[in-house]
Amino acid sequence: MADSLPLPGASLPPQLLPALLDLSLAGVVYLEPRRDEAGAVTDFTLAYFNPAAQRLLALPATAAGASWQQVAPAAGLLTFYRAAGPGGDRYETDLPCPPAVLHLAATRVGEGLLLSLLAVAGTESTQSPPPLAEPAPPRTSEQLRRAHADLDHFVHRAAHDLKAPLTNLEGLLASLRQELALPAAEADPATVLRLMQDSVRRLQHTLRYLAEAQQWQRAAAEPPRAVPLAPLLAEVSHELAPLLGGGRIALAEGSCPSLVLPEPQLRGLLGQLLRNALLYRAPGRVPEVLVRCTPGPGRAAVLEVSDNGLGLSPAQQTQIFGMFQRQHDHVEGAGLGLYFAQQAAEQAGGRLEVSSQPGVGSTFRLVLPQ
Amino acid sequence: MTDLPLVLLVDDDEAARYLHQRMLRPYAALTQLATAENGQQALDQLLTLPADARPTLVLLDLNMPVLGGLGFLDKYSQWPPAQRQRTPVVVLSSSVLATERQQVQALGAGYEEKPLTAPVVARLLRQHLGVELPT
Repeated sequence: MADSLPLPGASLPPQLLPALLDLSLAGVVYLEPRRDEAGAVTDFTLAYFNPAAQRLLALPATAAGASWQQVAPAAGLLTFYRAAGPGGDRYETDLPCPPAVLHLAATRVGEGLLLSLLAVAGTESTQSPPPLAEPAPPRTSEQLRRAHADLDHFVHRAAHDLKAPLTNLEGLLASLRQELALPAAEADPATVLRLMQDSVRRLQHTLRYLAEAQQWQRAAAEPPRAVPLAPLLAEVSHELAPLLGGGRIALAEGSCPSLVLPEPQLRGLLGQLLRNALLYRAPGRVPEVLVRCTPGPGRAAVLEVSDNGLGLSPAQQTQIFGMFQRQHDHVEGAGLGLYFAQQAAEQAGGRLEVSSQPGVGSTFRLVLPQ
Repeated sequence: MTDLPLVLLVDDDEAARYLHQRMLRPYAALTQLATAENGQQALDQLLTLPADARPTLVLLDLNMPVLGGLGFLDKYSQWPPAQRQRTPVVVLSSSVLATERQQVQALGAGYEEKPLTAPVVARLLRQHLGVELPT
């Protein structure tokens, strides 16, 4: 009977919970309060921890029943516990646990305290392998449906962009034969040859964006790591020097030193946003581009690229992330750069937004979970 | 100004425009030809011409920057029918998805495969312009 079938993902059979906790990449800890004679909570007992928590907190296997305050006195859990009601409140903090930094979320459940732990980017750690970022959340069926439709559109368009210049070349070749059969005074083979050359250039252009699509895909498959921002920005800016035209790309003071992402993906994103900032400069204005990285809501980081360029109308702002959307004729392009960039941001569990004022400039804001 | 029927060819691809112009060459004494490089230019041209001087046929590409063929049709289909009556649109495309083709038809335009062939040009001009080559 259809209406008695369980919805996929609607509930987890309770008997699977131990296996899930063993498998989980996030550390899970359950603490029970320890009270003094007056009944005030002074410490917690490690009542349960899963293998990931044991690894993250470097706990001995015998730590069950041990004191939490001896493991992580700086976590601020006592203060939270005392202030929190018996359920619902949530507390998050970063917990230095050399060589990594852990991000900790806690919630009070009845008398006890549930913790979830993740390793986030270490500050200056070089001797240990870079900590893993939280894996991007699995895509929803809506996102998958959209990705499938996008792929369909992309393949269709690429096929068209390969076919159209080939069809032209065929027609132009026939035209060239006709022109060459005419008396020299009437013939115009030069126009035909120029258009043939142009068709070849279009084929090359299509092959370039196909290669670019593959590059973005490969970049997303690399493992995420903490990428130092300043050196990467210097490299990307250097590559874009021919577009700079006396302008300037600067990193805002106090920006976060690194971002956790696959390095080629961050390089691609930064390159795309900076290239746009320079290409769509305002006439008569030297491009000024400011890159700023700040902590965002939750565990996110926000990377902003602000320019003083042409700016975008509200209508353009809704179109620029679409596939094959081109707003300007004066710049060569397939209209894919920002589409690929937004896809990359979403693949990383984040998003890419724009705010802009025509004639003043644009700010692209990349929100990335860390 | 002559009173020859006007064909507006809308395509961002210069080679495609050239090839279609060549296809229309045999009709040079019977028709006039105008070109536009995208949907927006085409709309602008339609708007600047007095109603009785508007094209008798628009040949429209689909994939174009600024405003593509579907974008053009979307805007054009909102014109009052009386304004559109004189100027039918035929979409030319080298590959069209079934859904895209349905959209084209729903927006009131005809559809022909690209590249145009001499018989198709002859049919279109006969049908929409009443023009035929002297035999």
